[in-house]
Amino acid sequence: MKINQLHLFAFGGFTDVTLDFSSPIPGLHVVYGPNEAGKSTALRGLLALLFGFPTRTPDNFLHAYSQLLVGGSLLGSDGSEFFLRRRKKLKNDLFDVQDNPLNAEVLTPFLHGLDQETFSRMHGIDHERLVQGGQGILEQQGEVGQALFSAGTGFASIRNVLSALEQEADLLFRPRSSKTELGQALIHYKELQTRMRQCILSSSDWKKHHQALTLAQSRYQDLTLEYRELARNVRVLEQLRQALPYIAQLQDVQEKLQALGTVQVVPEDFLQHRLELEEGIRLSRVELDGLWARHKTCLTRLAQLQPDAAILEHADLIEDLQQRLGEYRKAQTDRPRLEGQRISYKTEASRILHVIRPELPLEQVDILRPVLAKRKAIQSLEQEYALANQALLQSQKQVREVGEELKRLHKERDELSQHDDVHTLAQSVALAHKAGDLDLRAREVKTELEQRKKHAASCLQSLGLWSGAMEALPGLAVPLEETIAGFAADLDRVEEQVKEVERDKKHLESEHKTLMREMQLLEQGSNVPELAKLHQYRKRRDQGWQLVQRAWLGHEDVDHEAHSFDPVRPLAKAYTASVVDADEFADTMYKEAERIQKYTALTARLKSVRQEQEAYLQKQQELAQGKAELLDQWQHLWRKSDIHPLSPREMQAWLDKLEIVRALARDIIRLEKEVQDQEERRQEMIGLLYASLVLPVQENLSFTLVLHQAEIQLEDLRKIHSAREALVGVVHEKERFLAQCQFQENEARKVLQGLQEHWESVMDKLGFPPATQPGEASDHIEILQKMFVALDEAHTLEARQKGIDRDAQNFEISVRELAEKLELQEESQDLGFLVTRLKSRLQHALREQAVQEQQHDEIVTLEKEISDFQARQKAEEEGLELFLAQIGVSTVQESIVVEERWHRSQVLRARMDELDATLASIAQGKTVADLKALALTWEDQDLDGHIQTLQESLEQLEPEMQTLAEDIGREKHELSQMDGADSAARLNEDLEAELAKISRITQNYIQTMVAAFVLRQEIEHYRQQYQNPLLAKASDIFQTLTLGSFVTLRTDLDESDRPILLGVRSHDQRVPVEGMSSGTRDQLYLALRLASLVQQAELSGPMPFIVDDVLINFDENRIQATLQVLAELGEQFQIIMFTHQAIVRDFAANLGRDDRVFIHHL
Amino acid sequence: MFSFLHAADIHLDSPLRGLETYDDAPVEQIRTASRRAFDNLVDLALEQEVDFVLLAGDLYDGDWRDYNTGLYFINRMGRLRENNIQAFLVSGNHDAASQITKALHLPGNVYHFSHHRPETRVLESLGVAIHGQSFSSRSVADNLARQYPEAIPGLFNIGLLHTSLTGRTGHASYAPCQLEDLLAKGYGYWALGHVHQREQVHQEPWIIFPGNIQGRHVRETGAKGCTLVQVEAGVVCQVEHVDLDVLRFSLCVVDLTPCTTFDDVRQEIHAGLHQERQSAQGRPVAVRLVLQGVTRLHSTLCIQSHLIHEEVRAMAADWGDVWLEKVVVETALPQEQLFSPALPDLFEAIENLNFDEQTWQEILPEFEALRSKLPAKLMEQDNLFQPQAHDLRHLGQAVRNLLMARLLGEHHEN
Repeated sequence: MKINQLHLFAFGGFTDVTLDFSSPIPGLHVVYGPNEAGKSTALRGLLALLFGFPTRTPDNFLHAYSQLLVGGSLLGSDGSEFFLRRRKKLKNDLFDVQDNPLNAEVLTPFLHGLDQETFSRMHGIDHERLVQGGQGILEQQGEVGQALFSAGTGFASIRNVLSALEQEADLLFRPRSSKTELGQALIHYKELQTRMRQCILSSSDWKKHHQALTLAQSRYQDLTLEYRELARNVRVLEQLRQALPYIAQLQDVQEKLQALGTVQVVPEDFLQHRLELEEGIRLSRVELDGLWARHKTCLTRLAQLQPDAAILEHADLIEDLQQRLGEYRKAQTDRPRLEGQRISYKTEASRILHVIRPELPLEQVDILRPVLAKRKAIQSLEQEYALANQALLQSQKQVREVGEELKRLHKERDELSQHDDVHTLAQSVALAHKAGDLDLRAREVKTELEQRKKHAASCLQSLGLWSGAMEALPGLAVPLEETIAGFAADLDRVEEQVKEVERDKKHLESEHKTLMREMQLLEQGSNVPELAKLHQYRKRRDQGWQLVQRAWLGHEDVDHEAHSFDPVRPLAKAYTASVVDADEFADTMYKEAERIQKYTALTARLKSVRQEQEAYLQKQQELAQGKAELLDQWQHLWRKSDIHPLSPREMQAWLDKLEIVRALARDIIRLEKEVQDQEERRQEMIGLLYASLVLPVQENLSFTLVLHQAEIQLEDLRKIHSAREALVGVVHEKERFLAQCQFQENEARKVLQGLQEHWESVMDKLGFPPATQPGEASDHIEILQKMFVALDEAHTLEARQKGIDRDAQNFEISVRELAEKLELQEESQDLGFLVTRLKSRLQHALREQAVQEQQHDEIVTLEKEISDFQARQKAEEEGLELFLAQIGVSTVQESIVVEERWHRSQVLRARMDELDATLASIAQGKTVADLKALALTWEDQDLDGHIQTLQESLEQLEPEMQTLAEDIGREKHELSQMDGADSAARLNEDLEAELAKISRITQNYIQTMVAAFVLRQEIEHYRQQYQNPLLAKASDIFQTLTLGSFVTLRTDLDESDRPILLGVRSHDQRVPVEGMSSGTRDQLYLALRLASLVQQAELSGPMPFIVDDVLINFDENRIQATLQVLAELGEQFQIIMFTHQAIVRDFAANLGRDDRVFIHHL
Repeated sequence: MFSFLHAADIHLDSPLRGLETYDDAPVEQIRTASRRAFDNLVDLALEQEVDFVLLAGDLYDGDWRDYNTGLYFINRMGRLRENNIQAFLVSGNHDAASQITKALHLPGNVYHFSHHRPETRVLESLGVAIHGQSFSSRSVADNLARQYPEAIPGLFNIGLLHTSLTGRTGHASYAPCQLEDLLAKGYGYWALGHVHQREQVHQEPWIIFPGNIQGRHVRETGAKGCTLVQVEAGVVCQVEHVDLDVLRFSLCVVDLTPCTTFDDVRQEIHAGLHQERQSAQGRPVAVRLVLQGVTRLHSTLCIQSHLIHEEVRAMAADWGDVWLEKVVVETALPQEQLFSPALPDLFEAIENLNFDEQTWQEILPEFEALRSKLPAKLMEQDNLFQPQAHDLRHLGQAVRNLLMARLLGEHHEN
């Protein structure tokens, strides 16, 4: 396979770049690109063409993923060229040149099914891999097999693979190491095994415990039965022992009861009832005695009482005097204080009078009393005067204030009148609003214009073919669509004819070939006899015959002619030979008549075919000429518009696009006009607004801004106007108010004057001076009033003193009269003492009188109670008698005897019941009768001794039973542990899982070991098979690459008898790989690699070898040597070498091998 | 009308094999699977109110000595007794020599047939005669069936027998007999045991291997259970297989031929596993995933087999009821790629590697140290060191994959 062409349509930084690798021999192609030129990109493009794009690629920075496209052609080993294209797609990314999808399988014949990795490894090399290869040879210590194999497969080192396998096997298992994976697993396995064994329950264990349990349980059961029997006996005897005393007691009670005989039944509550009745009778008697004693005492006390009747008669009077005595005593105390007060009041009145009327004596003062009556009238007059005065002052103040405010308002009104022209501005603004947003419109139109222009420009650019001003576009003269369509049809027709002729020609060629092959087949073995040749033979025979005739019959000397007829043989023989020849030839012709006929026919057909071919050639030329003329006309058609046309079909599409661009151009002109109109209108409106504005004209202000300013100003003006209107109304109101105030002022003045006159006349009437002010008059009257108050107080006190004296006299008379009447002889004459004495005597008399009445009442009550108690006592005594009759007795003593007998019998019976109950409780389940019967049988026997014997037997049983119970418990516990648990089964599962692990590790180990074994075997096999031919080739290459420093490569055995590789210098100096420089080892690897490729090309056909900058570390001489080798190999397979080194390019160009070295620039 | 259950090869407490535990494996879900499956059998008997249960041998594994297993069995038989269900059992090759069998004292409702001679138990109330004979030792080569008595007229006769018949793949030959031997007895039903795969050998009279009740390793795939039989008027009127297993083993073979990308591979695997899960009807599944098919992805699969392993385990962990037993890569490269002239000889040699007995014998000495260390049980179970032809084929395939992965992987890593 060979790569003929790489076309980077859209890939990385490339757009439509072609690398043409087609050449007569595969050759060395040096693709040179300095850094950043896209050398690596081109290499990636090449791989993408062959194997598709990787999922992620850095080559989409210019072209989007969907646009990425590479193409090219491959030359197969059969000489056929295959065109393909590759897009970036997940699936079906392969296409032919017409963009029809191709099956990926079509590449298999070229790539032999290699994937990209294998291809890159086997048919590619870069600097890194070269170095790794050299290093690998060192690591393999020059082991021949490994070195050859690595180079042959493109692997850097097969050693790594082998040692990795060996290391892995070591990690899995090593004898005598427990740290390997298998070792660990085995340890774990054994642990699990031990644990499981411990968990396993053997059947014998279970049986042992089961039998022990059964035995113990059976023995325990027997002992339990025995124990229970003994215990029961002990219990019965214990009962009996307990019951015996009670049985004896019971007998005793029964005897006593019998001795009592028949007993009168006494009701249950009889005794209590009887005692209650007796107690009632006794209490009644005690009560009656008490009552009689109290009656006697009362009578005695009554006889001792005699109250004083005389004093009781005057009781009311004495009470009255007692009360009056207090008043009398208080009046005597108050009198001197009242006298003092009277004198002080009189002095005060005299002092006040002296202040206002010094001339008038106190005694005559009553003449002034009428003045007091006028007081109210004067006060009212004073108030009126004050109000009138106040009103006058108020109205004066108002007139002043309103006048000042009016002045201020007038001034303000005058100021506002200056700015008042609203209408003109309002009109302008309204007009501006009506015009709309002129700025926006202008902007929109402009933007649209710009967009159209841009769009049109890009359309025009993408349109191509024509470059001129946009304005010229509408007027651009292009051919009519119909004309173009005509040309397209004509061209299609011609193309169709050309194809037809081509097809026919191919048919003829193939027929020609077939004819030639058939003729060759016919000619195989012997030539086909031709009729002409027969004529020749016959002619010669005839010629001989004539010579014979002439010599024989005419005796002519024909020697000379005979010699020329046959220079060797005599004439006779020559003639005979000619006859034989002619006959034989005729015979042959007869025999091969069919073959001759066929041959003749073929010859004829061949001739005709050749003629036809010539005719087609002729026709082809004619068609070509016709097509050229047509294309000439086509070019001519467009010359006027200065356009170099593409094909008519393309131009049809172009024309469609042109029409769109033209429409755009027309739009642009229309829009430009609109832009201008909009601008004019805008300026006009701005001018209008400024005319009405009181602002300086500013340039370049937008219409919107000016309008906004105008609106603000208009708003201000409107506000001022409405403020002034409001002010005028206020001024009118204030003027009216001022007039009103002035009128009120005059009225107040008049009222005040009237009041002044009336006041003066009143003062005169009262005797006050006329100049007395309204406040002064009131003060005089008030002083006068105070004087009269003091005078009135003095009079009142005098009257009270007189009353006190009169009351004291009356009181003394009453007291003395009564004392005399009651014959109260007392030395003291003090009225208070007398009254107290009277009072004390009266109280004594009253007390005695009250006691006397109380005693009388008590005597009556007692007599009634005595009579009642007597009746009741009698009734109770009768009731007792009746009660006793119930038990057949009449007296209490008899009753007591009967009751006692009854009680005794009752006590005995209760005791008997008690004993029966005790015995029943002891009997526990048995009857008392049983117990008694049992007691009879055990009479006179040693009950205690017997019980003790039984208990001893019981105690002997207990320890054995205890031991058995413990045994049973233990065995049961043991067996309960053996409950069918699955612990052992679970451990067995764990064991099985571990076993699976061990199995897996073992298998891995076996696989790894076998793999290493196989690999070693195969490497050895490879070495044996290819060592000699490969080394021979590699030696030559290595010699060239090292500039003759090494003359050949040899193999030898090392100390372990492994075949190793050696370089040989001149004079048979052998150098092991360890002794070579790293650069030389790289060259050794390259030599082996190239030798393998040569061998592969020989074995399985050539494949391209892609070399990426391997010469970086080579010096100039070695670069040249390497290029020399590669150029040589270029004869056998294609080598594409990417480099950024200019020196490599120059050396390659100057190798002097232009027939096989080709330089490509990126 | 009466009904009975027929089960065999219970292998109580026998562990599941080949399931190496790993993180996220549903370990607890598969614990004591044989017991839980047997519990299902007992539950089924109670639920269906069957009249008796037949156990046709191999109740325990012969070398299993834990008496707890027997106690567990008695306990479950006790449940049957409480519900008046009888059980009849014969010993097979596994439990003939079992220590447990010898020591166990069975409850009254369980009858264990003698190994000395064929015996017959007649259930008068049902009109049934059950004939059976246990194995006397691990290996019984005699034709036991031939000694079974003729059918008792007027009763429904059942033969309970542990046998390999004329031989079954993967099962050793025990108590061999011909189909004709069985047919000749005139029984209405032959309850056979020993073969772990369910098989209806004959119909009218019915001869059935119910298979085991729980698959124990990846070679025992699919549903496992017992047979529920209904008899009316002396004639079998219904035979139904009822699943009892608590875990399914499955061999999930995924054909990757149509895959062109790794995503396709993932999808195919996911679909394959999903199908296995569905057919397990909610039980956990232990899956061996076998990747087959001819695909260009073969090399990638070899290189990234550990990734596939991880991914499939992650899928399984998501589901929570899938245990990944193993992933086996058996894919191959397309033919044209395989024989590509551009491939160097080594690849061809590896691809065509035919790992044969001779090569194995050459390398075998290398494993002597390993062999001596391995547990005896492993040597009994797996033919690790005495591989059969197909084992060698698999080994060859694995080695091939490993080498491809390493050789190609070496490039990847670089």
